[in-house]
Amino acid sequence: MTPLVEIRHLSKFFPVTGGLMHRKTGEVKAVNEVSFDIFRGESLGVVGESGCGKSTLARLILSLIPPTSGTITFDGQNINGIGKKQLRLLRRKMQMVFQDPHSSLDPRNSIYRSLEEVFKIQKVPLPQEKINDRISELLGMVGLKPEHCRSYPHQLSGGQKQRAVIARALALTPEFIILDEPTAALDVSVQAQIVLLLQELGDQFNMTYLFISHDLALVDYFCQRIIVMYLGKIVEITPANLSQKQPRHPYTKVLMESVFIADPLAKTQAPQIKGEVPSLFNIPEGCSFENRCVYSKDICRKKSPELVEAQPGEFVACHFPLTY
Amino acid sequence: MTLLKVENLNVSFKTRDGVVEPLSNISFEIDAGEILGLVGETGSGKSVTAQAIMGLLPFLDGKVSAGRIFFNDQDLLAISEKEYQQLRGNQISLISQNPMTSLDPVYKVGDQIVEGLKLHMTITKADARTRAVDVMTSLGIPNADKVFNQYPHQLSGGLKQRIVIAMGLCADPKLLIADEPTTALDVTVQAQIIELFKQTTRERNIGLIMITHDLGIISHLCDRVVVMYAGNVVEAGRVESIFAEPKHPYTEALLKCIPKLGMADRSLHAIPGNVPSVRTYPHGCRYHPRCPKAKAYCMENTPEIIQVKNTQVKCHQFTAQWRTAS
Repeated sequence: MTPLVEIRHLSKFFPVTGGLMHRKTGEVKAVNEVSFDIFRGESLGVVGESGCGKSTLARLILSLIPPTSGTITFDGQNINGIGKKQLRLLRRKMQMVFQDPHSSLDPRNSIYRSLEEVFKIQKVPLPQEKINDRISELLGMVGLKPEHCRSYPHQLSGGQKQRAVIARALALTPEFIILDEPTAALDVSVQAQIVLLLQELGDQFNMTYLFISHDLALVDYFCQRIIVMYLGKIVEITPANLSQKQPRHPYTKVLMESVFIADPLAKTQAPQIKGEVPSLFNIPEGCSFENRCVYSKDICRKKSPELVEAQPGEFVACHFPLTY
Repeated sequence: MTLLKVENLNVSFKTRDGVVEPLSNISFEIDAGEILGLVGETGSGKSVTAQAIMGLLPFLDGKVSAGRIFFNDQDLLAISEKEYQQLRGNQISLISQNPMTSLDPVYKVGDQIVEGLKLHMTITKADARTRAVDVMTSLGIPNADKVFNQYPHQLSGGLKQRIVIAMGLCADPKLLIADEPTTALDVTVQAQIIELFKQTTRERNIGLIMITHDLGIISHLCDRVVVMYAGNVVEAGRVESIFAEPKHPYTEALLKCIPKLGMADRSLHAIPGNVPSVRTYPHGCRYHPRCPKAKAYCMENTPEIIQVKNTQVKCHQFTAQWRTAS
């Protein structure tokens, strides 16, 4: 099965300048040699903590920022450096839902205008009434009422705003939606509504999702596969349902142990981790997780481990992957 | 001995569009050495509760409109602002959500802890510094001596939060209120900070009120829980019984809408509707528009608060059942 999206050796390094002459003094390796596939119809999760590169990765895939190196292939087409018109057409197929619904919607536009804008920008040759029909349809799909058309963002709750953002993303029936912390700004009771909505829409349209979040339990619930990132690199790619699986990478294990399960009778294990996250300006040689890893050995300090396929579809980047 | 007792607390704020009442009839207590969780979503009133206990309402155009707060049997509503200043930091301390905003960016972090100490007690600068370094070390800050002389921007989020906790603890308060102390932190750092709270509370035998929306933290850390919704306490009790046998429909629904590692596929249940804003609290039971068990009288009448041993429930259905049973 050909993947919908193929990422190969993708890197994004941001230069750090210093001094009077603004010379480049170093770089932040926000995303470093990342390779993976996204299959049609799947929900693929990306988890990691601050500085792991997951948001930068999202922006790279959407062509919001250019990569330093590497390739992104969407539906067989290399999307690096494509022209403006091609990019605009690509954006019909690939959409994004950001974290903050408050800043995703133009406060001066009614919901109607924000949705209509998509058709205008994409120069969709539909008569106005067909556009109106489609907008009503979209609002219905996301659980908003027809009268919400006339509302302005400030008149809606966080959950309603995020539904409007999802409606906008769906406007031209995309194949692929990247969600970057889509529920982090919402109350938990509303988060569940949005998650269920996304699942329903996923089922209905065989949507492919890239779901980025710091919330491991949420990603585990929503996705079929999970990518774990640390300081710009992929450390593990694993099927979801983590409680049934044993993590191969020590960092994945730490993440799982750090999540507090909402059950006072659940047996907890103190996460085995030491030290602090190294600064992104100063990522160490060798394995970037080495200074915090309780299993690290000499080679970990010297050589950065490659991402290898431990089992079909399951990858880990570690010199001493955990075995059970 | 009861450290803090909040009795039928009502709070109101003056706003441009009139008076709003974000808290109605809140009651709970906490003993020394106990960890009490205050859980709720936006607008539940948990932060306002902390502000009320700390005597900060007058500075926010708010006031306690009814009810009582007792700290070690002292009536906090009967004391002057000057007397309150003696209590703050010394006896009752508040740790807030964003360590970034609690720390002054232009001063060294150590000096900020010392500043607090000198405000709350008679102590020399040298002694204050020693005490600050001691508290920092006890909170797991490595090279505390060196960190003392650093500025907030030089520290990671986790370190900053430890400094803020140090500021809260250094004058040896009896009661600590932590308002969402880990929301801005990475999950691995959060785990360490929560462990730290647990350890410190037990070691110093202080009372800790942990305000959070995170039920995972509640179940791991707290002895008892108070569940708040739209300015009311809807349920309160021991953490084991709240999770095993929730008695209020909101608690029950809340437990089912949170993703948990290991939960069955497609078993997440959303709560329909939205959390009401303080200006549009529903009549009768404030949860009724979202409640699957709501009946006609739930829309008209405010439920009674039933107190049974360690448990508190504010729900018409529960009241009816309990009356029939007893």
